[in-house]
Amino acid sequence: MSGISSVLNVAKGALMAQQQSMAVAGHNIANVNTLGYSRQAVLLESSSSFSMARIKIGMGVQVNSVVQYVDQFIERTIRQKVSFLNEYESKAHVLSYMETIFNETSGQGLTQVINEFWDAWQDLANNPGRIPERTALLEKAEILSRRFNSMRDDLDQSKQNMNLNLGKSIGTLNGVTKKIAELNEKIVLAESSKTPANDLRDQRANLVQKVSELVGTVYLEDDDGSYSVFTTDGTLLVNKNQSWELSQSGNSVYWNNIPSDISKKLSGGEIGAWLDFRDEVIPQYIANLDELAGTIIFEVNDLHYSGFALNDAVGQKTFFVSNTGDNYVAHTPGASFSGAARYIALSTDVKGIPANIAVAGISGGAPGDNENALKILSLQTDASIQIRKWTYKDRGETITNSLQTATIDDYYRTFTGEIGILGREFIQNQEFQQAMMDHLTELRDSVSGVNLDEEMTQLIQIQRAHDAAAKLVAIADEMLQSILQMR
Amino acid sequence: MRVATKTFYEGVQQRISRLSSELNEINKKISSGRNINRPSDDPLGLIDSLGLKSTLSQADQYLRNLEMGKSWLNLIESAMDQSGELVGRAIEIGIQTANDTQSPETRAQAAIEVGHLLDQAIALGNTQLGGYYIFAGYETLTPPFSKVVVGGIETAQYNGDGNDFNIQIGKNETIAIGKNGQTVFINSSLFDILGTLKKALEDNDVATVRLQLDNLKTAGDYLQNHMADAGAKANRIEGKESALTTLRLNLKDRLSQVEDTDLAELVTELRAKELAYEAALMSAVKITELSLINFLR
Repeated sequence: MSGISSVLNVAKGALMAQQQSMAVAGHNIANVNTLGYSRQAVLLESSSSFSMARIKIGMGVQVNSVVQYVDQFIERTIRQKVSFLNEYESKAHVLSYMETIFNETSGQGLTQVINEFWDAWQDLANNPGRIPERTALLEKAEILSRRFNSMRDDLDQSKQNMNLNLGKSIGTLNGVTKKIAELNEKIVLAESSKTPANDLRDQRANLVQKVSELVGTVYLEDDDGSYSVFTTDGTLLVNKNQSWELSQSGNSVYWNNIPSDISKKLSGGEIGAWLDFRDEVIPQYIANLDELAGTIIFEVNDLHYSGFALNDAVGQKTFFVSNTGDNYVAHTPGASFSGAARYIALSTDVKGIPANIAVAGISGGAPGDNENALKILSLQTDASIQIRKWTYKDRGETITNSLQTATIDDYYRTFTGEIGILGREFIQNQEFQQAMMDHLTELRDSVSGVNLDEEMTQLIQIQRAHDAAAKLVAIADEMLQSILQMR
Repeated sequence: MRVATKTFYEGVQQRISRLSSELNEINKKISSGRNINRPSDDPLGLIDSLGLKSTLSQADQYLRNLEMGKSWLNLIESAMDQSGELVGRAIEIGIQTANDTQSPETRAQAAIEVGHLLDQAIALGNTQLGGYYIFAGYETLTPPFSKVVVGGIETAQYNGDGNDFNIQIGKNETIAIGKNGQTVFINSSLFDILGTLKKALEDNDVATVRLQLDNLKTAGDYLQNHMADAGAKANRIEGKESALTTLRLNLKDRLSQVEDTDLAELVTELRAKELAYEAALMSAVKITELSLINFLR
């Protein structure tokens, strides 16, 4: 009798095991499109045998555990590389917007506006006594000023936007780290019974990846299965069931509301990208644009000041003006041009008074005297103008400048070219990181991803095993019947 | 290698999105006709094209300036030419009237003609171009010459200044296209000589008439020199003009090489990408059809 009942037991165990296998295969199929899901499998083992007389007979099958297919090395690599990918993606995105500010490829770029300004001086030099040419020059100068103003405004706005982006990213980060801490607690609890909490781990891995998308991240797994998450500079974000928030206050980023700025230290991810742009890339363009505008104000005013307006014997008139009426006439080399692009405008000397443009070089301002205009228009091709070129490094902690001797045109041209080169660099970096990420994801999925055909095969395999086990029950039953029917 | 079902679909997505973005880039280039649509498309090309554009804009401006210089110089040349003819006529009159056989009445008649010549000379000195007096130095809005009588002799006084009008015709290159009346007319003493001749004819003073013949010749030579000078400058401007026109064509050509799309090349590229795109779609359809599910009944 014990023989048949053990057969029934074996059949029951087999049915249970196959049903569990079917459930796991179903779970895999259901999660075929789930982000970050790692496929699971039932680990079956044969049950320990019992002895019948001298013979050992197996007790059938039992489920050892449900395991996950995970390659920890690739997972870790992906989670750390994703911060580079997101950093360059964000940077390429912002830069492509900035390119539109400096867009010189369509007709009406700053170069074109500057050229038209010089052309207006040429026309005036050809017709020094006439008011229409003077008025035309004032219009072109106004357009030039406005172009500088709006470019500077756009740059300031972009800088502000970086702070808004930063706020959003920090908000997301705080939410995510809080959830990681919660999951840490759940996982520790679930695994205290030594069974891996597969699906919770998948969720947590996704969240850690999300953190890494936001800021450069390192993480460690503690013995109890909880994760400690740090930024790459060592700022603690999550430990066990506790998380620490970042907060934004003006331009500063605080950790755990301790008012000491950590914004210079955070790198990588979206947050790194926003901070790099806010404190390095954009300020550098602003400084160089100011330098360009300031140089134009200074050089034009310097010559304009020593010329004479129509029928004028006094001279000393300015053409452009910068912030708070500063016309740089008393400018000493090396002094700051900060804000020049934002404030450049026509001076009150000439605004609306075309006759006051100092075209003449000789006191008295004869209507045919174009000497000063000839001097001013040669600024266009003057290659001996010294312009400072600013470089911002270390998030604006290191600001250096080098003196360039070039035409105004050359200076701006190099400057625009550099934006293109930087844009190109970001795009290439992004493409590189993306290709790497695609490859890593493929590798990861080759281990952890669900293959439907594979699962279908599994289904058939399990179904057949289940059929056979059911058959076993029937046969054992028949055997039992045969014995019971014996008389 | 084991391939997850997701990998198939992701691969299809990635390929299609990459090809779409490449198709879009080519389409942008074709529809805008430009190779560079934003700085990062070709930073060095952009730097080149901006430089070429600036040089081109300068060349255009210099050409406009030259055109203007040419009209000034042509007008000066013709004013000098007419003044020369006028001197020639005065010499003719001088030679005729210096003949002892001429009567005082004939000389008085001649004096009237010389008076007209003087008026003509003054009018030539007051030649205008586009509202400007070209012989007035910088005082371009004031008629440079007005008739005055000094010691009974008609002549003209100069109201302009001693400056010559300059324009820019190249980088650091200016040319004087104006001639001030002091240099051209006053220094030639043309007005004084004609006035003196007129007075001498009226006074029937043959000796003074004869004396003016040499003076007229000197003045004529002087004016001739200035005519030649204006002619030489006009030539220089023409030379410059043709050089700039050639340069301009060159610049346009180079700019077009940097900026403009090579349509034939792009269309070929577009065809290739289109094919790749279609192939990707086709393989996507084939791959997604492959499934064990289709064979399970």
